[in-house]
Amino acid sequence: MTIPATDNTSETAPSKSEAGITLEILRYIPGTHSEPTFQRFEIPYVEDWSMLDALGYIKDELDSSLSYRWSCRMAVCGSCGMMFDGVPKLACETFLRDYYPRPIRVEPLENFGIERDLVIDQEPFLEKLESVKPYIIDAMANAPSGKPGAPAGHERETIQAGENRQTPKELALFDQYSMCINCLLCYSACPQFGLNPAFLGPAAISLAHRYNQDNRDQGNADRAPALNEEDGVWSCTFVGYCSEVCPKSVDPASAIQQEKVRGATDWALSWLLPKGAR
Amino acid sequence: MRQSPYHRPRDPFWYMRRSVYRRYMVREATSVFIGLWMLNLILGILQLSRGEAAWTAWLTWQQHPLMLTFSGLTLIMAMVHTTTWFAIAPKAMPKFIAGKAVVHQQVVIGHWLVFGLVSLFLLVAVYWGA
Amino acid sequence: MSEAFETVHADVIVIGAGGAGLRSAIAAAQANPAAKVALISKVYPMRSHTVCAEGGAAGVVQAHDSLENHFNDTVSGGDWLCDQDVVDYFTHHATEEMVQLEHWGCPWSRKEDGSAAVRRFGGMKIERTWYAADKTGFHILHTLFQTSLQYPNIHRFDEFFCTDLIVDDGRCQGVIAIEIKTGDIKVFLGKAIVLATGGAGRVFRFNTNGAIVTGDGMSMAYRAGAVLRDMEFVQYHPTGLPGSGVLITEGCRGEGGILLNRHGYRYLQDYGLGPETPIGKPENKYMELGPRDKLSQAFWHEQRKGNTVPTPLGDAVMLDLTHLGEAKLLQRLPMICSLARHYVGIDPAKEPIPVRPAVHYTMGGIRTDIHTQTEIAGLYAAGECSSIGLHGANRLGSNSLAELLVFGKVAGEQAADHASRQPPCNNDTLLSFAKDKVAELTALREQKGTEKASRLRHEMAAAMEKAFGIYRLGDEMQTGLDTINELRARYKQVNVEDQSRVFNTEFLTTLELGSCLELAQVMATSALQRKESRGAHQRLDDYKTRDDEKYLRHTLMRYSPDGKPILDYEAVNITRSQPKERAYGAAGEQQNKQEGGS
Ligand SMILES: Cc1cc2nc3c(=O)[nH]c(=O)nc-3n(C[C@H](O)[C@H](O)[C@H](O)COP(=O)(O)OP(=O)(O)OC[C@H]3O[C@@H](n4cnc5c(N)ncnc54)[C@H](O)[C@@H]3O)c2cc1C
Ligand code: SF4
Ligand code: FES
Repeated sequence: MTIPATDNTSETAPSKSEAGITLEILRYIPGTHSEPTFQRFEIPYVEDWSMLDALGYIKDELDSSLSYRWSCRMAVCGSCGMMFDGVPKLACETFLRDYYPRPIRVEPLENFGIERDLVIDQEPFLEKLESVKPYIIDAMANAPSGKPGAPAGHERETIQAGENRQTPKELALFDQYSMCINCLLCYSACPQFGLNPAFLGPAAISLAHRYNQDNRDQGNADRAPALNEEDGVWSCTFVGYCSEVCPKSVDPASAIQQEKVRGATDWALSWLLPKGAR
Repeated sequence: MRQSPYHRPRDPFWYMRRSVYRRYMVREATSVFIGLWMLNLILGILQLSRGEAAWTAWLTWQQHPLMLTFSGLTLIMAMVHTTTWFAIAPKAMPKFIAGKAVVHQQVVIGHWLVFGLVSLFLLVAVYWGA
Repeated sequence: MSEAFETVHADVIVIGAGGAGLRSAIAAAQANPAAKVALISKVYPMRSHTVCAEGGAAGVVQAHDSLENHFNDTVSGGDWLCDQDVVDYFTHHATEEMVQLEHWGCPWSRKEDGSAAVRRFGGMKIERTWYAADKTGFHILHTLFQTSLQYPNIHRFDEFFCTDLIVDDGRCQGVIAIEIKTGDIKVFLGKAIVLATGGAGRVFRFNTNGAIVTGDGMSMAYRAGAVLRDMEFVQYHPTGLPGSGVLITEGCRGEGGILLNRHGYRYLQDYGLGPETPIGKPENKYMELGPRDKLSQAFWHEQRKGNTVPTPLGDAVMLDLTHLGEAKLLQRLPMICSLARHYVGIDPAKEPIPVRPAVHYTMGGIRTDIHTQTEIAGLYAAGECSSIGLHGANRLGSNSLAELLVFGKVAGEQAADHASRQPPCNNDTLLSFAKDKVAELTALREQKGTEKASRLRHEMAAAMEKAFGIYRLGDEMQTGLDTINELRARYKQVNVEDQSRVFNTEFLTTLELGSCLELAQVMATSALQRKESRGAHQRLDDYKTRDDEKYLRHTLMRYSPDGKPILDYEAVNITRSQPKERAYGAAGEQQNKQEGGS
């Protein structure tokens, strides 16, 4: 048997063997299927192949109608999240060798609407992300660059003033939360999001927290309404699985808990302090 | 025209599927016991306000084997709850306090220390008070 | 049969939401808050290929550095094929763009005092590469994307695949796109269009590029009558992982990593990059910090000499980072540690990483003037899809990310300005033009052919790699070009099996293949005709040296309906740096001394 190399596998096909492995992939094509069903594919087993290589083989050689998202194949673009044997993972960072010789069950990310095959609807996430204002607000009073409609001349001045100071320690307060690749694995891991699709969710809250923690930002109050709503941080019951599946060690669960602490403190202060002193 | 995406029906027993979820459900379930025991306590206080006879009756009821089992169970549940909460407590802490990195293990140990001290204080207070 | 389509109107249309596209959308939105900016991308913006850039972005900051240094490094790095007025504009504006990004929240790595840190990079004389650990592109892209969310006049069209530009009356006035999630066709009409669709690395087999880097925009512009320039210059990056081609950033060598052959010898000293610099004391423009083309060529020679290390995934050399120690590796190169662990099973703190050259970057692209204006009125181009004249025959690492920002901004401002001076589009003629294009698209989708797109793609990538790799030979190139022409003929018979509309990725990859084949032909023809060796274009036949007399010129390619590109040349804009020998290592130092430079 010859194994045609896919674009993203090696030019010298790695350790060829007669061995094979089975993938059971959830298929759903609107208009063709009334509901999703599993389809079995027998493919050659190549030790170096990631799941993405395996899917590429299927698409090129066995069934060109299989649809899934992918691009970077180096775990940074966040396109290829899927469920493997019920666990959300990145296809490009999951390897056949970790399952061989058992068959592998491949499904689209849980808790999302399915557009087709392994492609899920990401639109709701983008709306949530937008709602937490994930950008620098009022950077350092003297550098309000980038505000809509800010006069061009003004921007020039602030650029001329040079970069803001930010010590490595100040950077460390938020850098972990800035590592989110928006792969949405954490949403698949979250039973609360499964029960309540309106929940803001782990990644959007982590990014809000990232900006709240940034010493250049003054936007905490602007983000508070979205965060402290019923569907905000308080929908989280701290299951903690989101942090376990996150491929970038963002630890969204910790971001949510810290935003709960911030929300509760602000609320308490709003009662204790007279208006204006806050 | 866009068809709306397909939503798979939700598994009503979703929480049985993963050990993480099962552990989470156990943690949540423990609070039921604690809640019930709190009700019992409130009842006790009510009885106390009703006079000595009511209070003694309540106390005797507490010594009934059924109630003893229930209290024992609640104690175990409370310990499970405490342990799981303390284990995840570090996540609610900021990454740095006063410029120093927060060490997760220390947070957990700290919680247990405070817990131990408060318990000890209460035990001693009750002992001396009695 | 043509199908019905919806029309979307905008003032400025930006195609592509990578670094260049987002920067120009923001610039256009700022320049005219009343203008409607449509930002179209075939993937969600944060999936764009800019996300993969690891190393950093160049901008002069240190007191002992100067714009002149950056200029000289860029021009000599590009083997004097750079337009020097463009390089000047670029070096003057790069740093302010880094600062602008900082104000927008980019988490640049910092020095203890809180100012931005810079690192060494190949071919750069003095450290001037700004970085955010080894995820610079990721952070730049997410910062730009998140910042763009605050502009209400930027209207995003995510997962819309553009197929053809609409040109009427010599003016570009729109684009045709497929809404991926429905398969419906939408026609976008606008007064100014910015192309920011990225490179075309996927024309080659072994590459560092993501799946989406298929040169769609270059091909679209070319077919619409714009000129493609310098397409023969394709950069090999010396350090990709064998097998996958995943990039191991130049930042590794900037931090002090060394390259070893199978004898544990630092072979670069044999290729004009020496003398050997002490381990742990990298020196700019010496040894491992030489430019990419030279390093990739050295690999080729070592492989011929049998000095490379055979691995199950092909021949490699060893990138040794072990002397940097685990702590520094985890701080400066965390992603590299994780990539090495996952894709080759190696801990860089303990063992060297096997690496080999891989296609990385297309220096050529859509020809623009210094204002990012293309041949077609109303059409602008920025980023890797463009050829503004900055990179010449070989791009220096970290100049590309800076280019996205500097010229992305220019393109956005120019487009906004142009749009404000245009009368509304003439709908009727445009729509009838669009109808024809839509009919072509539908025909392709429904065609019953005999060829399988994935087969053609593999054959194209293999042919290009064989004939237009690190070194090129006249007759091999001719064979390569013949193969490509044959594949182009077979492409006409391509069969799209998948007949469904929703997320039909087979149809989209077939369109991408069409673009790739178009560009492969242009690259091949340009390369065959350039009878000299310069930068990334190195020949081993009778044209081993640079020939300034005949070829200190840009290659131009125009589309012709008969399928044979029309070749032309144009002069390079040389303002003050006359071509010299490109020298690195001790020879470079010598050259500097003779000129009284420092
Ligand atoms: C692995 C790697 C590492 C790199 N590291 C560095 C580095 O350290 N420093 C440096 O300076 N440079 C680096 N580069 C180069 C640099 O990253 C790229 O040149 C640059 O990111 C290209 O950006 P862009 O905005 O032009 O295109 P991209 O980021 O590729 O974006 C293209 C956009 O166009 C859209 N698009 C394409 N076709 C269509 C279509 N048909 N319809 C609709 N939309 C379309 C895509 O969706 C995408 O949004 C690196 C490159 C690679 C591959
Ligand atoms: S927090 Fe982690 S799991 Fe969630 S989207 Fe971001 S990177 Fe993915
Ligand atoms: S393909 Fe980009 S994250 Fe997997």
